[in-house]
Amino acid sequence: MHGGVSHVDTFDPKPSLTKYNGQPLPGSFGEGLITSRIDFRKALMRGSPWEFHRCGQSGLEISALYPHLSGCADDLAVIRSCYGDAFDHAPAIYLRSSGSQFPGRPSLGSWAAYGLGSENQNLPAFVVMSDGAMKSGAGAYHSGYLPAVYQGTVFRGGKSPVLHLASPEGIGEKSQRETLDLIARMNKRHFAEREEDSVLDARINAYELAFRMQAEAPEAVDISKESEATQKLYGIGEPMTDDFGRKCLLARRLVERGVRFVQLYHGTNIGDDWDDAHLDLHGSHTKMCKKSDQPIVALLKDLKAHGLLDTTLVVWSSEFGRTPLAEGKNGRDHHPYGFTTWMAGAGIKGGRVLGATDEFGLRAVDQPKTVHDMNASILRLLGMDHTKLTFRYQSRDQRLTDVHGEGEFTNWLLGA
Amino acid sequence: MSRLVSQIWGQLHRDYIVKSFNEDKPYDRFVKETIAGDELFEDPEAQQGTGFYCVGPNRDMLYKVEDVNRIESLTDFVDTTSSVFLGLSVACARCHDHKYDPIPQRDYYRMQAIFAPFQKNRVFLHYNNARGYDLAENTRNFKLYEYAAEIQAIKAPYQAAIRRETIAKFPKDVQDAFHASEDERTPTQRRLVEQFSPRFNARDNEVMAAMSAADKERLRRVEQRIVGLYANYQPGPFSPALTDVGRESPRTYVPTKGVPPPGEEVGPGLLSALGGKDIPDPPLTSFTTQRRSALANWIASADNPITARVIVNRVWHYHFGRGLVATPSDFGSRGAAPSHPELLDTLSADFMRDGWSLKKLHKRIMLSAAYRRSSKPAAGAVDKDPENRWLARYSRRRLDAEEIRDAVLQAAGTLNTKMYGRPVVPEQTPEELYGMSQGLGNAWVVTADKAEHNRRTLYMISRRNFRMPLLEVFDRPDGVLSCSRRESSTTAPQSLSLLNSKFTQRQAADLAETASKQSDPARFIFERILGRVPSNDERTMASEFLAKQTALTSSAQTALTEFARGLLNVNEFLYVE
Repeated sequence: MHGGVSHVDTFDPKPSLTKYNGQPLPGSFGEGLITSRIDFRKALMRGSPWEFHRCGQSGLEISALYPHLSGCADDLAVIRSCYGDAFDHAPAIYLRSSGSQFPGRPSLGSWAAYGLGSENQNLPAFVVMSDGAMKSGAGAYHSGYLPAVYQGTVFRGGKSPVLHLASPEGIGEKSQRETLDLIARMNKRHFAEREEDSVLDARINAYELAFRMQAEAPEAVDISKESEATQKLYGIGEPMTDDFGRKCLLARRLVERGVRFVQLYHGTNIGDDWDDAHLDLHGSHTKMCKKSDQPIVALLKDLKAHGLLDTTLVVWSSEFGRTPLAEGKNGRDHHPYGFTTWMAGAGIKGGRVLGATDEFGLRAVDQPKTVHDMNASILRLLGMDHTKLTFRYQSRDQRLTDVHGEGEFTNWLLGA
Repeated sequence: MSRLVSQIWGQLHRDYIVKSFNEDKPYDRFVKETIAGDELFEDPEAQQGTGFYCVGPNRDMLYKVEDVNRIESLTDFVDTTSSVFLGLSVACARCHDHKYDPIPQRDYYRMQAIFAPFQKNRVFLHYNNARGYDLAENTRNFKLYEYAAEIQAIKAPYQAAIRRETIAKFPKDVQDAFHASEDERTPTQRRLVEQFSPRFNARDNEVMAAMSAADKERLRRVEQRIVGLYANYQPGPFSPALTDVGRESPRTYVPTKGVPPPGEEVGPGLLSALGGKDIPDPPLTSFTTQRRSALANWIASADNPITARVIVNRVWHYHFGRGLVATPSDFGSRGAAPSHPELLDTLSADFMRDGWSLKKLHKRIMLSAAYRRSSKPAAGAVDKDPENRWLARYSRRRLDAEEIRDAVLQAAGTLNTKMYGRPVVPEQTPEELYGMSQGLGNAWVVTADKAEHNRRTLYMISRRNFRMPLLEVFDRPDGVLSCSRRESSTTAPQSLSLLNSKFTQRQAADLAETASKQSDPARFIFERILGRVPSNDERTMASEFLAKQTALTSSAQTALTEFARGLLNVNEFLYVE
């Protein structure tokens, strides 16, 4: 969720905020916390405008913002004690995606692709779908010092889901094939005198693979093949849910076809964004939840129906939460010191909560979890040991979790 | 605006680098200018070198965390300086003594102390125009501030009226909520205000529609004055640079876990394992700490055992695809041992004797028997030395990303060889620009002069958060962390990009256009792209291909374009051997 989702309005109820609504924080509670626009010593507490309900058999608390998701409460393992130290979007997005506030390190998806390889030679291993302009730029899904082949590949709907997939205008499939044959003939003559060099042969194959991708990738994103009921489940055709619904459905189709890692970003710097909560918490969160609630639930249900949820990890997260204190009259500012993430699928035992923030939702106090703990757990759920997945760069065996990640909580997730 | 500033600044430093290499500036002099040009040289041209420390990644735009930003800059300075010039992973000693090389943590912070007094600066390349520039800039800023207030004063009454009218259209409970004073609102009213408030702000087009002709005229005049401010505007004639805050430096400590205490205080010093000493205090008359000049003189010294070897090895690496030391930025114990140590020693000694001349070094390497060897292996050679470590043949090498783009332009005959100046923003399709952090109108302002678009890749704009897809796919590093050795991958997306990108299409079409005016167009295209005469077989292949494509596309010209597009994708074009 791009822009920052308020934890105290979604998955982390704080009755104290409502009780002391309009008052400053008591004593020294706000000391040492900084964020971009408010002063923690002066700003006033603000109760959530949404009610929380106990949902499912587990009684997991979810706010009225998520009417659909409330029905899946028993699938969700909620981590209420995430924290970080970056309070601006770009550093926080880099931190979440790569374990470093600074751009340039490989992202989680790149590490996953590097570690797991690809199951489908005709599709990329790491696919990204976003709403376009992100506050971090495309650096959020870069491969850093890992080889560029592990870079996140942006997918779109339509005939050209991958960049440069479509043949030039006016060049039909036959004509394209003819040009590819010319390349192949030239390359084979060239290779005949250089048979010791396997790289040349690899490039000959790369052109054949490219041609197959031209056929397969558009098929993968062609959702007209899905039944009407499925499309309806995702809210496709409805103005609010159409866009994210398509992305979620595409995600399922790609996972089905062996894509290893799919990352969806919801919200954009130049349109509707979770970050509109600066000025308008109520409006922004109402709108963004409306756009994403049904599609997310559809993805969970659809994965389950296809028997894929057991082997697919679903992670819902945001670069940070939002201040329990009001920004201006109607908003909430960025808040990285305590916020919520949830996970589902991959054998996770749902309907449970890990950790807690303090009485006012300010700091993660019980079982605080860093991004490294999160990434270590994700990698282990994907079948990898975060201390052993390394790449030699600048004379060091670099890791996604650097020297951290000791707070890994996979066992808790699995209920083991 | 920040984009504009970074472009102006980055470009002058790039031009400085290009000039330095073209003029074959002695490498030791180049190192000195880079690390301490401000302390060692009067000439502003030479002082530009320190811009090296300003064009790297930084977070200067993030406020409230200035102390963290400064530490991160210092870390970057130490890490980059040591790996680039000394080929050492000093960075490893930031948190503890180096695990493999004799670099204690204390040495890391002695080196950090060298940069501790840094301050970003500007070098004005023309005599004494700094004051004039700043005066004009400040005057403009103050005026802009006044004009903005004037504009707001004209609009404010209309905005208030529109807001009142909009509120009046809503149900009574909403109206009451807004009219109630803030202290007296009920909880329900508070929620209503919160929910509706954003809707009641007047939009600019509504304000303009309601505005009287007289006020519109007033507005137009203010806007005219703003435009007038920039009538003679020119970007500042300065290059980014570094200097010290003064003769005194902030203190440097070896950090311990937790604060306080801050840990042991250390002074500036050079790496002890290489015989480096403490750096003494500067004379009382000095304006700077002269720490960086001590570092520069030490690194760029014939007595330093590493500096010449590191640069010689880098040059070798770029010519052969593999350095004599295969890890060009790691000469430490975890790096690769040199394959030909005596050769590296000899080349390094000759390099220094030649006055640290890189051009002479290039010539020496390129005239060597090893460089001129055929890439065809002798019988059995591949089995004995699959990686070609012993250089019995020349290792075939795929062109780098920038070389591929430049080579395509060269083959198409469209290459614009102009040097220096503003970075060029070439046309990219919206798909190619996907993921920009701003709207494309702001983030990617295409250079108006189309002739500029075909300049060498060096002169294309380079942003840390965006690589042009054609370059990215061919392993151009992302420009955040320094990269001593590129990948040379072979992937299907490379094929897709070089086949189908608008860039290839356009260049192929341009080449076909030129070719169509020649007596033998196919042969012309062939020679342009592959630099040789086609064989008889190849001629036959070409004419068959053209006939088929002409039939398929009903256009002889399109067939020629397809021929060019195809040949731009063949291995013979993409590999040097």
